[in-house]
This record gives sequence, structure tokens and C-alpha cells, in this order.
Amino acid sequence: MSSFSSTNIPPVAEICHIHEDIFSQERKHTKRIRIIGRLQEKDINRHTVVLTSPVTQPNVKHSSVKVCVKLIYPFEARLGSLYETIVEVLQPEEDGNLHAHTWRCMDGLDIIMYYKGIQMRREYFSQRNINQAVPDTG
Amino acid sequence: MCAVKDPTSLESGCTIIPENRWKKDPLFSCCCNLFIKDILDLRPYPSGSQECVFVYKNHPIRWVTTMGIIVKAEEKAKFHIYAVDDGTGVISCVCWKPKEDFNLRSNGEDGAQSLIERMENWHLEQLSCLEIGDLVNIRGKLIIYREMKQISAFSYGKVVDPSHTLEVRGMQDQVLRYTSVYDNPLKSTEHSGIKDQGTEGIKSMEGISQEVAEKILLVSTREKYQNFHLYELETVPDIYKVCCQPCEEFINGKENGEKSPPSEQIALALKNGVKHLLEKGHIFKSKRDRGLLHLTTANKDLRDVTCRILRAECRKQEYINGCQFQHLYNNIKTRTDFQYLTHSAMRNLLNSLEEQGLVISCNNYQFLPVR
Repeated sequence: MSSFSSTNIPPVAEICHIHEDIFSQERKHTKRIRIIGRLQEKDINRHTVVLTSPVTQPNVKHSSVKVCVKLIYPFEARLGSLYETIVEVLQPEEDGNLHAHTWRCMDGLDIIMYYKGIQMRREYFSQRNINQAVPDTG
Repeated sequence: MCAVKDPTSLESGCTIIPENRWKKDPLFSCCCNLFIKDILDLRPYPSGSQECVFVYKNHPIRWVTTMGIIVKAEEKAKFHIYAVDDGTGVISCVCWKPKEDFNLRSNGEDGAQSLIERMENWHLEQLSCLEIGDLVNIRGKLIIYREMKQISAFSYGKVVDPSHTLEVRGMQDQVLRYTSVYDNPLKSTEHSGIKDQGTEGIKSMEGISQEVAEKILLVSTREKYQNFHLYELETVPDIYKVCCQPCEEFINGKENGEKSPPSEQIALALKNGVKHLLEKGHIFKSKRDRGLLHLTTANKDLRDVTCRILRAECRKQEYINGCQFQHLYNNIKTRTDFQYLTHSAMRNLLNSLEEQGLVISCNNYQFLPVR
């Protein structure tokens, strides 16, 4: 039997929303994220696409991201469809610096229920962290 | 600054479950849908000798199920290894290829593939279709290989769901399972009221009360009592001995060095014991003397009244085939002495009369007297 060694298992891809600030201080150490968005533009020559947030949020600074899809083969995409992708985040910010490693069509997804599921998970983890935080004795 | 405790470790207040009690925990026998983050943080169970049993709170965990995206794939001769990511962590899963069993192949018609062959080919095609980016559902045993946790899958497959309902519902149900099942530690005290290991012999009040009830019946039958008061039971040595057993509800009172059990324990044990006997119909209360309790089957007056009523009623035309239970019961309850007689006491009495050959039970719960 065999397994991946600790060095070559990819890091975990945290689930984020496009309208959240991906390059914020909180996510400084995040190397990979999973986002879901609607395909607005695609540039086949430069292997880049633009994904927009599937839910319109008022007063939101970030509503779209540019993703490089050079690593996806075969790359099939329809404009207007919903896609989920795991992207690698490189710092500092450059044009097309989100590199997609996976690409999955999510047409038919109930986006409101999906957001609700993510929200439930986040609330559970934040509640768990509050319950288990212990003060330092030192 | 605060440090965060490991949620998968045994918390203070969670009792370690001994290995012989693991089967009582339902999580031991099912595939637990834990987050991969928690699976990776699981530690071996402290009290166990088995290698691949881990602890979450104080639940013993050996099988897990997870739904996630394949982020890395590798094929070997006999198995595939997939790195699966569910958004909280990444774990490697070993998925064994199905063995080719030539005995299953039937000698079918020339040129035609048998059904088994076609199913095997379809299954192999499905397995080879798992690629990076696919959503998979994996169920398997959690093992440690080269100091790393991985899942040795006994069931795996691509999730084909056009509306993605399974994935979304799975996320929500997982959180609900955590809050309602996984995060509730298993309690070690058993229903019989006996604690395990270091506190053997300590019983709950419920257990002691049932023993007191049985002892009262035994003593009454042996000594041929017809009735008694509650306070008289305390003077019977056998019954008093049962009441004085160590009780978990009153054990704290003995920490001050008291040797004898508190009087509240004895009074409560007797009261509950008598209550059990009343509910089962072995005794009934007297109308005239409120504190007096009569034994149902030993009371001669009740027996005589019942037989007399039965004989009188069965002479009537409508009861010639037998007197109904409820009619007999209502008639007996009109007597002042037996107004507090219960249904269960009446049933016990009739069963006792039938054993003595004084009454015969017929169809539809009717009774006839033996003349």
C-alpha cells in the first residue's frame, strides 16, 4: 500500500465567496480557496476567465475575479453558467494571479441553499472556537 | 491571549468508555460523517487495545464517510489513491480496484458478453472515470499508514447529481449531526443503575426501589401477611437491608464519614417500592384506614365478595356465558372496602382465583364461577 507523503498532499481549499476580500489580512496564509461564480467573460488566447458573484450584493467592492485556466484540460465553459473552481492564490496581487486547479459546472445548484450550508458551517466552527477557547495561565 | 483546545480530544467531564462497552455506542458501528479537519486531528482511544479506533469527545470512531472534491489522483496496480478535499481538510483515500473473478464468468453464447462481464466492465469504466475535480463520496475504515491518517475505502463513487441537492443537503446535515450526536459525549452509567469499574455495587434509587418491591412481596407471601402499614416495613430486617444498599443519589452524604444511610434514602426506597406494587396490582389501599395496604391475592374478604358477585351475576340471562371483567370490577368497587381497587389488582385477583380453581376465564375476557 502507499499514500501521499505530507509534502505532496495539496493544502486545503477554504470555501470563500467572490464578494469577500480574498486578499485580506485574515486570509494572508491561505494558499488555496474554493469559489463559485458565473462565467461572464472568457479569453481563450490568454487562458483567462472572469467569474462574477452569483448573488448580487449591495455596496460590495469585489464582485468578480479573474482566473487563469491554463491548467484545466479539457476546458469547456459556457457563458452565463455557474462554475465551481479551486484556485491557488499567489501574493502579491497581479493580473490573473488566481490559477484554477479544478473546474466543475454547477448549473442547477440552488445557490441560496448552498450559501446557507456554508453559513451554517461557519457559524458552527466559530461557536466551537468560542466554547473551547481557554485562557492562558501564564 | 487564549489558546484553543483540540475539539477531538477527551474533554474533562467525559468519561473514558472501556473497550467492552464500545458496542453500546452507535457511532462505533456506523460510518461517521466527520469533517476531514476533525478526522486528521483524531487520536487513538486511550482505553483501547485496537489500533485503528480513535476518539472524538469520548466516542470510539473506526469508520468514516466523507464527501469532497478530488484534488490529487494516483493510480497503482491494485488501487487508486485520491486526495479528497471537503473544504476543511485534505485526506488521502485508498480505493481498491475490484478483483477479477474468473469463476463468475459464465460460458454464455458465442460472441455475447455475459451480464456479469458487462457489469464488471461498466464498474471498471466508472472507476477510471474518477478525475481531479470530481465530487466523490467515500466510506471506509480510518487507518494510520506511515504516521499519516488515510481512509481505506470499502465503498466509493462519483456523486452524480444534476441539481447538486446531495452536496448542499450533506453540508447542512453534517452540521446538524455534529450538534445533535457527535458533540454529545456518551454517558457511561447504564440503565440498570450500576456504575462500571471503580464504583461497583452502587445502584440508582430506581434499582433499589424495584428490589424493595420484590422483597416486600416475598416476605408477605412467606409470612402470610394480609395487610401492612408503610412504617411497619422498616422493622422487617430483610426489607431494611435492601433499603440500606449504597445509592448513587445519596452517596455524597456519606463523605462526612457516616456509615449508615440517611433516613431519607430508606423512606424514599420504601415509598417507591410500595408505589411499584400498587401500579402492578399486588396491593391496594384501604378506604377505611388510609395508611393500610392490603395484599390483593391474600385478602379473604375480597376473594369471597368476588366469588359471590360472580355467582349472582352469572345466574342472570345476559351473563349466562360469563360475566365481563368491567362489569365485575364496577360491582366490586361499589363495596366501601374496595373503592380503591385498581384494574391491575382485579386482574391479579382473577388470575389467582383461576389458579385455585374457583373461576374459569372464557372468551372476550369473561369469567364463570366454578360451582
